[in-house]
Amino acid sequence: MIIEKKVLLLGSNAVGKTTTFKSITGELVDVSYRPSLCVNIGYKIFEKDGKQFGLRIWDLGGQLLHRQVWKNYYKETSGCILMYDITRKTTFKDILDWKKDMSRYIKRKVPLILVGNKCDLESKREVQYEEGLSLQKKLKANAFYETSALRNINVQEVFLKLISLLK
Amino acid sequence: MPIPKGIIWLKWDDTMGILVDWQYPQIFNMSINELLAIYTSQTMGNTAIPRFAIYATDGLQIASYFGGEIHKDMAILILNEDEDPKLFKDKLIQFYHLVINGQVNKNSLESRIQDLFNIVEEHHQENQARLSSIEKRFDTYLEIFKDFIEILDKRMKKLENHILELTTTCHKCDRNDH
Repeated sequence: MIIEKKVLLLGSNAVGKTTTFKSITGELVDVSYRPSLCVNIGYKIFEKDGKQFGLRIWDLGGQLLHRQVWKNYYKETSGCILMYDITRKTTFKDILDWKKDMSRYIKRKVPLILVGNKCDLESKREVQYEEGLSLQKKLKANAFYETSALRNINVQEVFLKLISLLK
Repeated sequence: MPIPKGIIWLKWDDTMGILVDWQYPQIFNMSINELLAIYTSQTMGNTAIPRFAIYATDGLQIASYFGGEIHKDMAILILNEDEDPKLFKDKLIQFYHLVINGQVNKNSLESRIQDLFNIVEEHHQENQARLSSIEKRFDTYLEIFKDFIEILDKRMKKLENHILELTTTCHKCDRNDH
């Protein structure tokens, strides 16, 4: 039996949500950047502790921040991933607004993971690992990871962690 | 004869996103990502309102109607690239409400869609007939115009001959008061 769950992937434009989404759902990763139009939805089955979890991953376009979003996108959400780009400080600052938007639409407490993406671009880093950890505490997020969706670093771990938190 | 290539009926699911409830013809295929892009672009705002929209993609024209917050269903009409989707607005909305209000049951849906396609075909035939009538009228006017030009041409020649005649007479008698 597969346990079905809906997971939201949120964050500003070009932080790597769609690349993460593609790398996890097995779609070909395209290095050129094209902003997502509103929503992408993918599906992936994970196995953990002998159980099968079917994650329906919703990648919401970064342009939806500060806009009136159709509340149905957020309905039935079991978990959220908030993502920023470690090479762009502004995307890190946006996380608080994404959290605010998320809380506006999701009234119950759901597992939340904070992710700093593009950790392969160390020379361009603008957000330190410790800043990420500190934001995790502020948001009361369940976990914090730095990932590289392009190099497939820590991406699986994020989703496996999220599954372990899903009820 | 240009007629719609197909119609797709989408339903919303809070977990799955969109679901293709039915489509006509059965073999017509659009990717779920394309359908999702069409659907989500019409659901902006906290409370989505009914909207008719048109799109152009890969040699196709698309007319879609989203019923709003209560029904959340969407009807998508796929047209050839040389067609104007705006012409189908009223029919598509009318059809949408027939389905939503249960005036069309699923068993007879296929025949209703066929009806819809026939209506559209008739509409095109009417347009075609109107166009050919305009062409005929244009041809008639062109013929009349040609005749008129011919008459004018003949009269001009007569006039030129007459002037030439007068001028010749004038030279003969050396007078200029004719």
